[in-house]
Amino acid sequence: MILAYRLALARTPDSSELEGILDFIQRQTDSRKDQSNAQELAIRDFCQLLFCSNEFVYVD
Amino acid sequence: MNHQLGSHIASRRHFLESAGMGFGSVALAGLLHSEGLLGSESSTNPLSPTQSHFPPSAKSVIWLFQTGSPSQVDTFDYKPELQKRNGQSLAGADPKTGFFTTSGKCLKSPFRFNQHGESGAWISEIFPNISRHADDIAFIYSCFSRSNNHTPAILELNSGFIRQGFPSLGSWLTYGLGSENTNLPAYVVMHGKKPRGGDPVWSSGFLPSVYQATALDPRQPKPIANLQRSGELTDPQQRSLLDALRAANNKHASTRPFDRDLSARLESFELAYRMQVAAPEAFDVARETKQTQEAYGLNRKESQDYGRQCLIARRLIERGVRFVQVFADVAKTPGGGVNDVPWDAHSDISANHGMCARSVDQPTGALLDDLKQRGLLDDTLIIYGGEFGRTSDSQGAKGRDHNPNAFTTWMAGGGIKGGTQYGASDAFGYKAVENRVNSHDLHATILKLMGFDHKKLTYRFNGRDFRLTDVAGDVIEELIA
Repeated sequence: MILAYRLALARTPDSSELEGILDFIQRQTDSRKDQSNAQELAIRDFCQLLFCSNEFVYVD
Repeated sequence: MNHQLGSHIASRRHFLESAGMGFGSVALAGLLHSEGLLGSESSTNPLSPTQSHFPPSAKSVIWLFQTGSPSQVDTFDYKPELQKRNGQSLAGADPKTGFFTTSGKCLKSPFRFNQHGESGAWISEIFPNISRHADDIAFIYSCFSRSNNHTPAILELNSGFIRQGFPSLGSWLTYGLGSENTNLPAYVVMHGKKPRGGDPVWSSGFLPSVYQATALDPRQPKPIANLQRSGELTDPQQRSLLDALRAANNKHASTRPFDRDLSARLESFELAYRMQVAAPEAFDVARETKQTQEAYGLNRKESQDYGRQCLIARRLIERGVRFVQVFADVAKTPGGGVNDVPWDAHSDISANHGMCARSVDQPTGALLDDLKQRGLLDDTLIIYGGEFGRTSDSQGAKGRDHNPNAFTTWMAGGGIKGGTQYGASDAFGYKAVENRVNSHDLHATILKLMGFDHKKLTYRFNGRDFRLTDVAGDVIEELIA
């Protein structure tokens, strides 16, 4: 997750962000209990979130 | 993957261009705009409903644009003199009036005309259904435009300018009025094949792009591209993703409090989420009764595409959409017309206008009936017309060329005085001569009906206050009830 942040946003997430990310991935994983690749799909959701974020889309 | 942040990694811009992520979708402009309507920042939202200058007589507009340009003398502007002098020289004819070269000889209309309603308006036999509404309609027989070429003329009718880059009427109205419905865009354009001129026709020009139209082809099973969530995602999963995105964007925005784009985009995802339900519902004509569908001609091949456009237009304005523009979709037009300019009867007026009328007459009549029955006609302004007219002399044996010097536009509903006949062309319908009306006059009148003084609806750009009507335009008071 830290690597993803560095690749997309050129910074590391702070501790509260990291906590939010892990929480989100956990939630998305749990929602796919019946799928064997649940965690992979959850990480995919996280990557999509990153690419949709204003921080990624807009240059300051 | 190579973990170096090196040159092989696509640029942000390139990534966004190729990845799409829904940004390329036609809906974005509307989305980016309405966002924020639900939030606490609604007062700063550019699409919040706003006050017009004075109470409007119309709440919404449906503009039935007859692309390619119907001939005035074969539709609504009856000229007995032309009928009498078929084949004779047309006095004062300029064979270079149109796009090609005309004969200079009068070509009578192949259609019969009759008078209709109390007002006694003369209407061509090709419009049996529009004729039923003669007394609801105000005809303007004296329209003219500046260009004899489709694209600049369509731009003029839409923006007042024959060049690209100026905001369209729909954008000005959205800028002035905001959005009534938080689940749908305020300004919707429906086309089959896009009309000549394409997307710049409904551009927001120098107005903020949030006022741009959402343009779509309702023949498609999914009229708004990229709206539905991927089948791999359930509703709770998408909701959870959007919540997490909102949290991330809020944190990012908190350190950039003055950038309105950020909060706008943040809300755009929420509007898109709501539109996933609202838009397919609004565009689904199967929800109408069989009787209604057939009234709009959805069961006939010639009229089904335009009929669907008209029926969706009614469904949209019922849901609070302010401005709906229909570019008449006529699937096959013989006699010179092609898909993006169906009424373009260069080679055969009878075949072309006959087919176009079989496409548009029944749905147009049904739309007026339907709006009236539902009590919506009183506050919905209907505009019907093309970008110019056609020559009174012939092109080839049976066709007519473009003629920017005279054409008929009509309006009904929304504060219009039905049964009005305004202006006049000359005895052959060749040139508008009495109470001439250009796009600025039409726009000034439409803005008045929507509650705006066209001289006061301005936007500062390049160091001056711009208007839809530039430095011209007279409200046609005679049309207003």
